[in-house]
Amino acid sequence: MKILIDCDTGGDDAAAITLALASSDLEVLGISTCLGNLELAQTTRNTQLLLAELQACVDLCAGSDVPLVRQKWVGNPNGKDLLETDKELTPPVGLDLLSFYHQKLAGASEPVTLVPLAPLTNIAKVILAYPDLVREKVERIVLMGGGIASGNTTGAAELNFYADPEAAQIVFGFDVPVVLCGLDVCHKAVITQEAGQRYFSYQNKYAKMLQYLLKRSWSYRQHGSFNGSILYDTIPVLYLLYPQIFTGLKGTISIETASALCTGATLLSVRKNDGDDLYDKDKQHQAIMDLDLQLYLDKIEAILAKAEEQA
Amino acid sequence: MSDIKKRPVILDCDPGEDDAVCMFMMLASQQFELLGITPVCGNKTLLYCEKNALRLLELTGHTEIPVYKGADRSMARGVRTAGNVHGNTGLGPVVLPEPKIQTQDTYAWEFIYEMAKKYPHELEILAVGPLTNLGKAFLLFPELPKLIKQVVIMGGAAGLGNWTAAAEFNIWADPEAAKIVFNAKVPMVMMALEICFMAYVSPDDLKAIRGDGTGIIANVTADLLTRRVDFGLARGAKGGILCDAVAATYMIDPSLIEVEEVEVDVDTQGELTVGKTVIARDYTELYKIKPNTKNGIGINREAFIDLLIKSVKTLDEKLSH
Repeated sequence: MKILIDCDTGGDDAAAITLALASSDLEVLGISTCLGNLELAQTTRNTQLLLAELQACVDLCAGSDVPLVRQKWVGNPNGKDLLETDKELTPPVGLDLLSFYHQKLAGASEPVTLVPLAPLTNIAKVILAYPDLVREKVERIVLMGGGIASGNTTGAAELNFYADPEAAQIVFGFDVPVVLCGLDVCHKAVITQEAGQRYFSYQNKYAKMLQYLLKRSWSYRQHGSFNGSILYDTIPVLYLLYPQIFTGLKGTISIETASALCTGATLLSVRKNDGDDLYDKDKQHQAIMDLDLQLYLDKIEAILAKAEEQA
Repeated sequence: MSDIKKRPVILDCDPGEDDAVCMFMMLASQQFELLGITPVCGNKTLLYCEKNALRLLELTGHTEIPVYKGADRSMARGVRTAGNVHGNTGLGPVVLPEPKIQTQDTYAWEFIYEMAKKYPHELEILAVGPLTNLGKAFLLFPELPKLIKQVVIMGGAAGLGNWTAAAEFNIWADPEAAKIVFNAKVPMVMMALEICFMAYVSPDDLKAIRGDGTGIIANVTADLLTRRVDFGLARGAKGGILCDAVAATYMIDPSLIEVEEVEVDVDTQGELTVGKTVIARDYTELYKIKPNTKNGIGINREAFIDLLIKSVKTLDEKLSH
């Protein structure tokens, strides 16, 4: 399965990229970076550090540093390097975002899945620039963002959609089906310290990286009332590989952009006849709502075990 | 029982099929002194809701309970009703005679304020329709909120709405009033759509509610529920729902319902989210939440059904004496 990852690396993005690279069932055609919880320069550098430490040869492109319409970045300005490495960093490719995506999509011999793990600024730009190419080559978009029944940046909104709600609305308003892995499912994917010990018996570089990221998450981050680590961005990767362990609801998805209280809120319309004409009745996106936690934990281990065999 | 002080309560409602069952449960319980009923425009226009409240009091033999003059439209968005969701009259297939008793010539919001002054820090309000009457009361009488013990509502949704993708009907019908109520610094209890769907009534439950078919209230309740159970089953659910009865259950026995402490606000601006109850929990990053609401997240469904059946039987026994 060929994928393009867009990310704002971040510990959970790093875990997602690590698992995607570890799996022989996914071919990562390229990675683009975006503003997000951290500013673009930091998300790009973190991605470089990760790829260097994993000794992965993947084309990297630095994308957007401000949201599409709002022109104001809302993340954490005190970002630090995700990890230290003694290996040499590879610079991003010498292409701007749109040229990078054009090259990757036009050159793809089979359908591509986009895996956005950041605010959707970059993906919206690609859709605005090359709608025909995206329709032709992008089979689906499997993303981390949003949430039907909860927010985490505000009560209504999750960070990726809060940071660039117009971009998110562009993506959900386009013609490519989206699988939304939002807070509804992520909040059920808590990896406790106890449950995570099973990953520490592996020695391959991907397992080592996941161990580092989990320890880091356990040590400095308390997820409110959650008793463990949530690696949000791993959910789309696990969905790509093992969709059977997830359940969701199909419907139209829209993003609020006009309300002080609800900007970035994810609205799922599951019915054909909602009173509101704003919803396009024929769009079939999917919001993932739940997962089998035990199988999620098992499948992560399966990816690491297979990588160990091949190492 | 008579030496135990009863809890003073006002029922604010828009009957409404599930409002009727909610009212039955409140009338059957010995815990409450039901001071009055304040109907509001909601499931149907005010005229229907008012008449249905009067009819249901006559049916249950509780003509001593006064009904007050409620709001005939939302605060800022005109008349908003649920169309024919509750049938032509608001009581589905149940046909009751024209009421003989009449509505009092006092506004609901004035009555609420008077009762709060009479029972300071004791008065509880069970509100299962749009929050217009209560919103007006809080707006007009600023000292009112601190006199009220708690407001228990049926309304809102954490996720999927039932009227728009974002909004549950009661909140959508008057989002400005709901926003005033949630921001009034009154202890709020919210039974939103999620918990109402957990409290479904199965076909077997429906049979148990009807019992031997001789009880007047049992038959009316079963008749009100039959269409809802069929509707639920046709959509792949395990039964039908009667949201307002869940709020009554919290009033009668809160131990049957699990709650989380959250901060709730109501959207009045969005293109898509007007009427959405925004639930902020302790993991919200942009601000520290100030919990203002107990939100129902789990219910002992079997005990809820038992309570419903017991309530109906109690009313029928009283009627047969």
